[in-house]
Amino acid sequence: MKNKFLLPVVLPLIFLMSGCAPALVIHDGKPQEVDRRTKLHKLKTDDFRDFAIPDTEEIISGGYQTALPHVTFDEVWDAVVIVAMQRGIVVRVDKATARLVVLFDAPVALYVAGADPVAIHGKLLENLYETLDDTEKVEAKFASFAQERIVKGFCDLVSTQVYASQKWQYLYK
Amino acid sequence: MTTKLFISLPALILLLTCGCSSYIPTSNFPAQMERRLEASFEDTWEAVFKVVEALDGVVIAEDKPTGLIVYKFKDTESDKIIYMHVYLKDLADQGATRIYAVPQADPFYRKTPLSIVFSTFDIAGGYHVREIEKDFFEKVTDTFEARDEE
Repeated sequence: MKNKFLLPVVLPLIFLMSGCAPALVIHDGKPQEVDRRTKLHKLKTDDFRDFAIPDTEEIISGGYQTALPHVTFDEVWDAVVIVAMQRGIVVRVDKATARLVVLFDAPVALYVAGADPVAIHGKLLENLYETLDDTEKVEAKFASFAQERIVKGFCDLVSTQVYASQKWQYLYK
Repeated sequence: MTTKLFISLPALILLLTCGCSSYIPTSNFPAQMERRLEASFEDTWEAVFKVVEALDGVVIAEDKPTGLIVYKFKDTESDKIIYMHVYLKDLADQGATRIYAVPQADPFYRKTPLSIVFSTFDIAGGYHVREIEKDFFEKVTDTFEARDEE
């Protein structure tokens, strides 16, 4: 009778406790604690101190871009900042190199370039979901359609923001 | 039997939907994310950093050409980590600065069954945001008043 209750109670307890225990690996004959947090989690804990903004080539390599005609760079940059601060958390911003990183639905790096049309290049920073102990292990993988949906979603908001103040102007000409 | 069903089913649905709707307490202050300060861009920029210092905050990002400062602090009222965005626009010809303050809660990422991760901001557009904004603008004004007294 006792054994009947022992298994259902003890087994879940063992599972629970093993999940809570710190991960240890044996390195040079000594047990060492392993940091299984993601890069994003560590950056948040460290207030993004060591976070380097991705360079322009890397952002362009993200493969997503949207073109906004009949507007200036400053108007687009202003819209990017307004949308980013209302819909996420801006963690890096640099107007001189026209790059910005925002924690939106997922972390996204943006690069604004060109003039008429002004292009917004975007890249989802998937690498921030890699775990610290093993870069092969990732907490989340994004299918290409999911990446495009998130980056395009942000760019669509910027587009609306840029043109919202302009769309009725022809009425006054 | 049919009458009973007609009465009990809508009542059940009503009860369920009422139970599901979230209660968001109203704020005591109107939303005022944007203000115009009769001060130069330089002075306002410095004043924001003094507010960060007063709140024991940490600057996450700043860029003077853009006019954006992002800082993190712990809100004592809600006991939550808040990321505050302060966006300044130089109205040099009018000797003033337009100032926007947008607070965001600490995001946490949740996984969906498709293994797509989305962030959730639990105070976005809701309760307490206006109190945080009001507090920020008051602190900026206090900074200017303290400077004028000196």
